[in-house]
Amino acid sequence: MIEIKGYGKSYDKKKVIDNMDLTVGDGELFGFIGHNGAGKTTTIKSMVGILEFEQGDIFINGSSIRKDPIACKSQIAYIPDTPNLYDNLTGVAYLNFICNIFGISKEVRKQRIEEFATELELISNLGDSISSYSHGMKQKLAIIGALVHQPRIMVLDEPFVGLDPKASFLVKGLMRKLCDQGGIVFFSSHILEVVEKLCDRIAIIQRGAIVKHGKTSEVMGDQSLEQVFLEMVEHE
Amino acid sequence: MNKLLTLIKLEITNTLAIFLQFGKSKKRRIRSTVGIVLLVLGIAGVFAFYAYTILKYIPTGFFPYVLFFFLVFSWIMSIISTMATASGHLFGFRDMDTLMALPLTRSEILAAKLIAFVVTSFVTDLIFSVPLLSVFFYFNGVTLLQAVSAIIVLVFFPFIPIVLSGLLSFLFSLIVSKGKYKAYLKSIGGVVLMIGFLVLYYGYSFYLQDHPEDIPALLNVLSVVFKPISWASDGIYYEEPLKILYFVLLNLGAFALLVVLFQRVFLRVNNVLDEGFKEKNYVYKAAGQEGVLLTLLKRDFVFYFTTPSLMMNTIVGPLMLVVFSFMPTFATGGVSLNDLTAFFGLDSSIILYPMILFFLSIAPYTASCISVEGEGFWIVKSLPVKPNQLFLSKLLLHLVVCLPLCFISLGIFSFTLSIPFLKILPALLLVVAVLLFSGLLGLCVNMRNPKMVWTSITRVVKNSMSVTVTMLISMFVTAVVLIAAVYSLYRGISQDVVIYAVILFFALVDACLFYLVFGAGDKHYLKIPA
Repeated sequence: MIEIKGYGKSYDKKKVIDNMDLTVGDGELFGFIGHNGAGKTTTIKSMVGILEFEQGDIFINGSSIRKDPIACKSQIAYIPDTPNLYDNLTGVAYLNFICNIFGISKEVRKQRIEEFATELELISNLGDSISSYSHGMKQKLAIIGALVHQPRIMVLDEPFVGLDPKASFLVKGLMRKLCDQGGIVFFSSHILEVVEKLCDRIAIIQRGAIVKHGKTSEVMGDQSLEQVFLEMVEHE
Repeated sequence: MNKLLTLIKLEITNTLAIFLQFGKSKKRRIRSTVGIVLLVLGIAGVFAFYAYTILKYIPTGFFPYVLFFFLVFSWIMSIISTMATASGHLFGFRDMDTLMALPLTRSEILAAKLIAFVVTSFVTDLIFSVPLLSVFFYFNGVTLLQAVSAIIVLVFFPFIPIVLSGLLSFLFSLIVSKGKYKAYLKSIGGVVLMIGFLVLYYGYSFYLQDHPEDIPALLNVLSVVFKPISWASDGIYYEEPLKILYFVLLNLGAFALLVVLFQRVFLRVNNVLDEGFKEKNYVYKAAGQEGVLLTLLKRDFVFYFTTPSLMMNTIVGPLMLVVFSFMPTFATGGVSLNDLTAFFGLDSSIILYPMILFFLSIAPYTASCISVEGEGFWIVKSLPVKPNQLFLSKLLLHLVVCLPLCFISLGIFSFTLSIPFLKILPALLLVVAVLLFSGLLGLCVNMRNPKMVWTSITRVVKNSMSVTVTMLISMFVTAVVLIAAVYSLYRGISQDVVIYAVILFFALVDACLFYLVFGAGDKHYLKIPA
């Protein structure tokens, strides 16, 4: 379970997120939407422990990201909107790096890397240096790196940018599979059609505050998500 | 023309922003500016002192040769300085895609890059050459024409070094651009070239100290090899404007040639050099499990040895120590170091300590640096890695890179100065203490002044605020320790006591820095943006 309690974040004394509360339960595929600069990436970065914040706390399965970041990070896989990876390493060296950090044995990593890299059609490129990869290939590698340690929670910032249709379809399937197994997927996206179809619950963030959240069908009512979102932006 | 000016302004702002902390508080900007001014004055002071000691004792009849020698020396320093940065300035910069997509011509982009490179090299060259020329004119006297000629020479001074280092860097990069280990080849090849140059330069200098009769022959050779410098030197000293004109025209011609050549191959070169390695018929094989610390260390190790700009800018100190360990071998005649130290009632091993302190303080920064993580910092920050594990891996890399070279150097010194092994032991302790000092200090300063977004690694390892401040503090502490040690020896305190006091001092400072980094570093770590 992800629990965001009274979370607030300021940049140079300017409050960008104030007193946010949000809970995401096990098995949920959660969509986080909002316009540019609304505070999606800030919230996500705080959630995964790469951005400090001064107000409230975020709990990952009961552990505080502020007080026990290692316990939280051990359960999370994060993929940012721009996958800046280590250009000096080969794809396989990067995956081994991730496996070592999570203490994954030789046999298990072999099976998982082969499985995911084959599915995402990256297996024959794993020996290449990451600097030779396209944006989409880097995104695929980051996704394999996220899946290879079988996280309980996946946090993704714009995961479908740069992915080809087949990879995009596969990733959606993998996200659903993780949730069916009791895990959590929390992702932000501007592709509202995908959020609408994929997510169990959604939250709309505007100027650092959650203005609407709940089950996707409840938030949408009899409108499309795009209509709901645009109406909210216009009423701003 | 407006576009070109905008680009040049952007390039220069990018460089200056790191030094002068644009966008930071006024207090911080003032502090960093004062730091840089002090560093520049310190370096300039060393060169002025160097010139003063030569000119004070040399007969005035030799002054034309001294001027020529000063200009050659400054020119070589300029070449070394530009060699280490040419690749970062001219090839493989990360904003190339952004710039190429804008409505700019290749010539405009290239010209902006080259002009920014010239300006930064010009400023660096002034630090070496102005003190040397000022002291020279102080002893020699100066006419208006000589002053004007000297200013013209200084303005055009960096052009040929940039052309040479640009071409050499390009050729070298091209030769090793194919193959799996091209990045390693580039880094290690660059370091081998640097060692070769240093050994030749210092070896021959020491040879000449013992064989002064060969100096005229050498000057003849040098005046042919360094013909442009010979023109500049004669032009200034003998007040011959025509020779200054030759110097200017040659510099401009060479630079124009580089512009024309690069303009033709610029895009292709960058594409070829940026091309990542692709393995044919790759078959996946699983690797065994390794611990977190070893994993982080291996990652940093690969990054260090596959990033030539990083390696060549930071390994200089330990390399110079190795080169200087051969010094007594070259000095075969005259007064040996052993005679000199015995004259002062000291053991010959005393010579090791100032060398260790000096050389390990001039390039204190290997990879004890969070900034090199750059925009990939999100990876390690989102993984279950404790900040202290990351700090330790950075510190270990610093030791892994520097310690072997320092130990090799001390081993060679033990032969060349005939120092018994037991006398080398305190030097080993000092090396470890000083390396821990520079590594921990580097980490402390870098966490206070991180630079996570950069277009070229050169901006982080050479032109960054934290490197400058670390060097400044390191050189200052070293100077204070050396002065205190010399004073203690002068007051008759035993050599062994002084040596162990210095080691103890560094050990205590290390303990404080260790506490700062590993006790309170995680709070700063969290603040570093990812």
